[in-house]
Amino acid sequence: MTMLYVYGIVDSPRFDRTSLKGHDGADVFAVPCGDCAAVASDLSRRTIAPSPRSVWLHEHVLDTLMRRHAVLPLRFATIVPDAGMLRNRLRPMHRALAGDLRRLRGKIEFALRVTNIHAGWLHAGDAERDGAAAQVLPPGTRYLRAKAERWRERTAGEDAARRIERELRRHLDPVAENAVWALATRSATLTASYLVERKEVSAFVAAVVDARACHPALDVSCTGPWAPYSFVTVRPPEAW
Amino acid sequence: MKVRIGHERNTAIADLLDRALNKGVVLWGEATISLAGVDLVYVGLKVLVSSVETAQRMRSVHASDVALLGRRGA
Repeated sequence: MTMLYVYGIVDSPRFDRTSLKGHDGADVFAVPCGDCAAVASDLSRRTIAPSPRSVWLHEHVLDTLMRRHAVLPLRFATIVPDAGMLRNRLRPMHRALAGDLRRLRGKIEFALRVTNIHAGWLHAGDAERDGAAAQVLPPGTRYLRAKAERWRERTAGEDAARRIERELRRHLDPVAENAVWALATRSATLTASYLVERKEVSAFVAAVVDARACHPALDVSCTGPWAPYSFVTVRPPEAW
Repeated sequence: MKVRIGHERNTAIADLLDRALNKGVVLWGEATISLAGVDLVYVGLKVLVSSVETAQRMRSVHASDVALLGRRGA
């Protein structure tokens, strides 16, 4: 059974990249819906494995189209039975899709990752000293002290992360359109998505290099440009 | 051309997975299960299995693919 794999939405009912290949080497084509179109290719199965190769291919199709069009990326593995069902799904979302396309035209996303922010979190000396003293305490007291210590470390870590975020934002925000930051406490990793105008890419990259130079103790990585995954606001009708 | 600053070997693929598997436009809010071999279950718009776990699984299964991508993306 042939299905349609859908990569994204473009701001035109057609595009001229007839040579663009999608999954399994199938031609990528437009499924027009009003004044925009879904970007799709035939898929001879109902599922797709998220291998690095297939996810990169998804991104490659979007990246190619982004050179000429505003593009909204769809989540990987969006598969529909046929064009009719796809249009039925897009129709009630059309106004919201058009709004996002206008807002994101000419903009791309960068990913930022700060991975060693826990270096200043833990006070090992304090922990060892407290640990030795705790041996003589009753079990209940030891439990509560350990719990309090974990809470203190987490709070200190979050405070440190906020400070790091503020410092990095001072470098990056002036050359970006928008940013979303998040802290993964378990892995002590700060991540951010930056929305950047295409004409500001060089300035943004320079700002990242500058930020790294100003904060050599931090392990800051930056990858992109990606399709603006983190900045789409449109939701499916049942989620409204 | 992709920009990579200060990245480790798999940072780019991890950044892409975080986005392509967890973000972007969702056409169906419920039960989007189109990923073969991966227990991705959506309840509403919430992903119960994170892309990081997916990435870790994929790193062991598709190590050769990652190496190939490193060459392609360089």
